[in-house]
Amino acid sequence: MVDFSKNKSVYAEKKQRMIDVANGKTPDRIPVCSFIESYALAYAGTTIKDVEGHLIKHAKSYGEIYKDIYFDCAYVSYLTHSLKLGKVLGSEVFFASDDGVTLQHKEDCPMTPADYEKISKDPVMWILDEFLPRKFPKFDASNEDQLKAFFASLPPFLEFAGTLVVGNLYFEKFLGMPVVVGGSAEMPLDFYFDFLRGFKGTTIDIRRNKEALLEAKEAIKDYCYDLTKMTHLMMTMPPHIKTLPWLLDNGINAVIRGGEPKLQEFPWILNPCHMPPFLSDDQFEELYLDDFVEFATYIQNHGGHMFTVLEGQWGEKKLQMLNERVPKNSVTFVVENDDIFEAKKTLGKNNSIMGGMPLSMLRNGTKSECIDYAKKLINEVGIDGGYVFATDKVLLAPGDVDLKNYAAVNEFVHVYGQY
Amino acid sequence: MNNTLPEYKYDKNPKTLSEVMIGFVRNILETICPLLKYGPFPKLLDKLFASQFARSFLGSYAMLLLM
Repeated sequence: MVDFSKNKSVYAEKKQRMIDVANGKTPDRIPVCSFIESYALAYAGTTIKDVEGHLIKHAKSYGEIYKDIYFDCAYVSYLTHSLKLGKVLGSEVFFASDDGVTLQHKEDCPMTPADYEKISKDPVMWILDEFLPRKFPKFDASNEDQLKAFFASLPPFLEFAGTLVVGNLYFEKFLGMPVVVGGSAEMPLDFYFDFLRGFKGTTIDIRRNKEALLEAKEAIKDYCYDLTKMTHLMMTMPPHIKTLPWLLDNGINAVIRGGEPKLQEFPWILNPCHMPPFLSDDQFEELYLDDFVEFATYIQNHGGHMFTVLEGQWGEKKLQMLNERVPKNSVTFVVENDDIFEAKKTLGKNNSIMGGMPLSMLRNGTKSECIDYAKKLINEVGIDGGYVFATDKVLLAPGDVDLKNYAAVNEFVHVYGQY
Repeated sequence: MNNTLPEYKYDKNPKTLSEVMIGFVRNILETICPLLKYGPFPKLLDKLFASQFARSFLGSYAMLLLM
């Protein structure tokens, strides 16, 4: 029998810990956040195919690990990409590995330098009318067939939205577990890097088509802001009547009238940063930093909080530049390959950080090694608040972690990490 | 600058993809509420589908496909 009343108070307590960290306050204890994606399905003994189309089974499968291992917060409560949506439109970009669980993707970015002029005039319409038909074979067709393809894409589109709502609702009501990701902020340069020009194209264009790229980067900024707003509204779907006024207010004023949104302080807006490890410090300062500061400021000024994943290795100089410019308590930085102890001394001065527990150690190390390292993280990185304990990388595949080690460190941090 | 555009493009269509999508949604609205075909409503619908509101939804749909 589910104790909804107890789950409500547990949820509120755990959520408050994350909010306190984001706001620069010392929480009652260091929160433990998961960084789990498709691994959750492997834990539950299901596959992507098993849960596709079954919203409740999807939510329950994702939630299994949270019943057995201590967490204060979940990363996500659902698979973050819809394989069905791509397949229905003839795309094989996203696929599951042979294990049926690990979600992977190939790069398919058919924009060329000749497209910069058009995309700079109207990025949204260019993406819809020219880019989508190139990327999705079923849209590269007659109007009649495009209509059929669009119609066929609506059920998986709605299914994806459904998994999101059902997943978050299940986690809150049945597990008492907050979910940290509530929206997506994509930096303009990353938009080209991730979706349109790709890794090779964008890194070449920085040198050979710089002016055109810069113009296109500025042109797509409004779209990036709009997506931040829309994804936050969609992914923070209030599962209860108390927050309905917020949704209506934003729906009318921010969406229909195009006004300024009112964001929530939790969940946080995910910002995966991919380009910076491939930029020199000078290129980062010239091409990326201003936009990053602008987005962090915008989200904070509208009541929200950004959750940036520093993917790869950024280096001390870039982290210093971020620390000097990013508004205080506007961002929680997930540190991946940079030294988190050094990051604490730079980024940690003005903003909070997350991560640090090496996934490789949890997978291959002994229990005592893992706990000793977790203790070091608590004592050095969590010493004065501003820290969320998590693995340094996302759990995707079945063999990604030794569960005994994972359960042990989380329990240890929960007990030892009290202030 | 490389001026080569991709060759795989079905370019014989009278409408763009976004016009196809908007047309589909418009047809649904007019089927549910036939009143929308008369009086001031067609022009209001034109405004609605040309608005930032419509762009936000179309843009969000595109983003979900790209993700």
